[in-house]
Amino acid sequence: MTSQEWAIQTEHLYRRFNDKTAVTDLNLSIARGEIFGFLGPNGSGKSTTIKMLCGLLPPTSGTATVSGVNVVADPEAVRSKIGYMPQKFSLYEDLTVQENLDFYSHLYGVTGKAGHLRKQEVIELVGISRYQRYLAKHLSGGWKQRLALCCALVHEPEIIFLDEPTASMDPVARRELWDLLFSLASAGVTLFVTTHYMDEAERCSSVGYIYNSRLIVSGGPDELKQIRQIVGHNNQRFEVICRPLVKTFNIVKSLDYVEDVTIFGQALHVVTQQGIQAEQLQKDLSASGVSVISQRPIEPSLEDVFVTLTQINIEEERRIAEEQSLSV
Amino acid sequence: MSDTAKKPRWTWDGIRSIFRKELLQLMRDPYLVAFIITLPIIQLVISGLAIQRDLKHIETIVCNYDQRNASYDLLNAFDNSTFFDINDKNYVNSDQAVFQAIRQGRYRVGIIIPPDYSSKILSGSEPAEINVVVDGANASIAKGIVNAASLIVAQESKASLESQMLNPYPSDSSSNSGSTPAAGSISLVTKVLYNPDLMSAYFLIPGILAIIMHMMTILFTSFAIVRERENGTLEQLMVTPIRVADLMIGKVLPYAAIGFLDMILTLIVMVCFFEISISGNFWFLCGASVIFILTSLGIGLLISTTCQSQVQAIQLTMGLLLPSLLISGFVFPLEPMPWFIKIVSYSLPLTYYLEIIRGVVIKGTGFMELWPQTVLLTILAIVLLGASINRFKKQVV
Repeated sequence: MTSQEWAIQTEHLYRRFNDKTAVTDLNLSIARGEIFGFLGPNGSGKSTTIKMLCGLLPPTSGTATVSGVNVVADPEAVRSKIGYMPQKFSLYEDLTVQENLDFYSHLYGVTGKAGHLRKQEVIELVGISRYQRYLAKHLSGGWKQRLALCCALVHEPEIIFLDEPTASMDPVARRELWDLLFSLASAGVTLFVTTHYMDEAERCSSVGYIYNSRLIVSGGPDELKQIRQIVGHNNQRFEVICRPLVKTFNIVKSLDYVEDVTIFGQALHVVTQQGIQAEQLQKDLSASGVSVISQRPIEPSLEDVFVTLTQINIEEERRIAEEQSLSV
Repeated sequence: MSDTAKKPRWTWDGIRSIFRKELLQLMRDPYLVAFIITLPIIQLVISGLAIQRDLKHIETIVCNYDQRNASYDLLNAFDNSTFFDINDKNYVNSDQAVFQAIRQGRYRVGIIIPPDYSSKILSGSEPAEINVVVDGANASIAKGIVNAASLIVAQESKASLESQMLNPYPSDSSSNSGSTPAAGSISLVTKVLYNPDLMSAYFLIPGILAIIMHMMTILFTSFAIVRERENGTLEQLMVTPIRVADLMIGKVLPYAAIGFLDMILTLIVMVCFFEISISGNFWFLCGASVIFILTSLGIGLLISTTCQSQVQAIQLTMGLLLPSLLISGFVFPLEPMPWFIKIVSYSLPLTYYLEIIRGVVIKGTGFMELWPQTVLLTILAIVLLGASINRFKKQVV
């Protein structure tokens, strides 16, 4: 792929705030038309990255190319090519839906007859027409986000940045917004979405996981489940449905060949060491008086991937810290 | 970078979009608009009334070295007026006691009658002096006291001269001591403690007007931007191609209009309600006021570039305004200030505008005399507005 085919590309992007580094050596390449899910705990550097890519925050060092524009050198040139939906609702609550949209279409120079048509188009796309005359403050959370999307879309941007768009939405509104995002992506718009929801991450065409200012991993959700740190030790994952759940959880945890166990609804997800047979686990559980209803080997979920990677990173940091304290 | 350099620094379209949005928002909140417009007028009326207090029945301390009839006649004249009250307990034996009582704040005014008062009145050879000592800390009250005292002394003096003409033989006066053998004129010597120049309400109200307009304009302009920052709407604006100059000009235009309207309204209140007529050219004052409002807009915008919240904006405005009140010549005259304070004074728009508004309203001076102040005020307006647009970055940190 040539640089023109990437929607977003960063090289050695750093951002420091006084003594704290918010983003460390970020290298990202996102293809056009992708839905890129950007995941990570709060304070890991997600919003800082978005602000740098939108040209709102100058990076400490490194380069970022967004839609073919060097954002570091010329942040103004990228404005008409991108849309941005901040985490917090950032439109005017004392203006109506229509007035907000009119204002933003004016700012983007989407005016005249073509502007009117485009406004109708986004209103229909987002389905907000029946609320056109409502003041923005009277809309529910989901509709506020749709209005924000409307205003971010009005100038037909090539890339849209969405910072936790579904954070305070009910499940139905969440699903509807995602359907909207898919239809945008299929029209060729690149979407950069941060989220905490794993089901949303699973629906992205590629995801990146940032932890403690560093991008730990990025790739398609299926690729990530195959990476060495996750499957490299040849350990196995089982879903065990059993009664009683919590008691079994503690029993499983105490088994010396079990590396990790988590409760998922009515089931346990158990990670065992290499070469441990399914029958071994079943036998040990029955011996402890647990009635195993069913047991089957499973693929790791994205959540498993991120949890494992975070643990590996924490251990790595601890090891480095110990080495440093020893050498001192 | 070369791409942005070619673009104009501002556009009508950009200013118009922001201006229209701002107007829409203001119309959604008519109470706020009414508040912004009436607040300066209310403030001016309240502070104007506070300094225009009625002068009546002021307790007066007296030291009468003379003790003869003529002196008591004069004191009666003071006591009988509505301004002064002299009771038996108000008499002291020495002029030191009078000064001490005023310094301690127990009395606002004292009268000292010298021992030779009666003999001078009777002989008519030279004016009989009396001393009035006034506490000048409250200038308008002190001035009122001095005026009232002069009036009483002038009346008494006239009565005394008339009686001298009716009675051409003052040397015979000792024979008919039962009547009041007043003769000769009385001269009043006033001594004002603390505030010898006696700044009057007349002098203060134009200054108060200037300060109220300065403060209100700074606050409302800084709020206009800071409110957007607080609500997060500024972040959304900054990802659009809007130019900084368009954003700032479009945002402050409605407040500039309100500022000018308020300026005119407060001037009308000053003329009609406080009966302070504008001796000089009204249109020159209006023009200078427009420039002054522009400097206030500039300061407001500068404040908004650094503040994250409206509370911070209020604190910064007050922090800047309070010292500028003290060194702009509003409270204390500029001349005796040390040179380094003067440098600061003459970088404040308030200093120049105070000279202009006082010049035009009180002395009746115009552009011919006040052009240096007007030119410097214009330069300050350009510098402040330019600096605020330059300082404002389309970035968040």
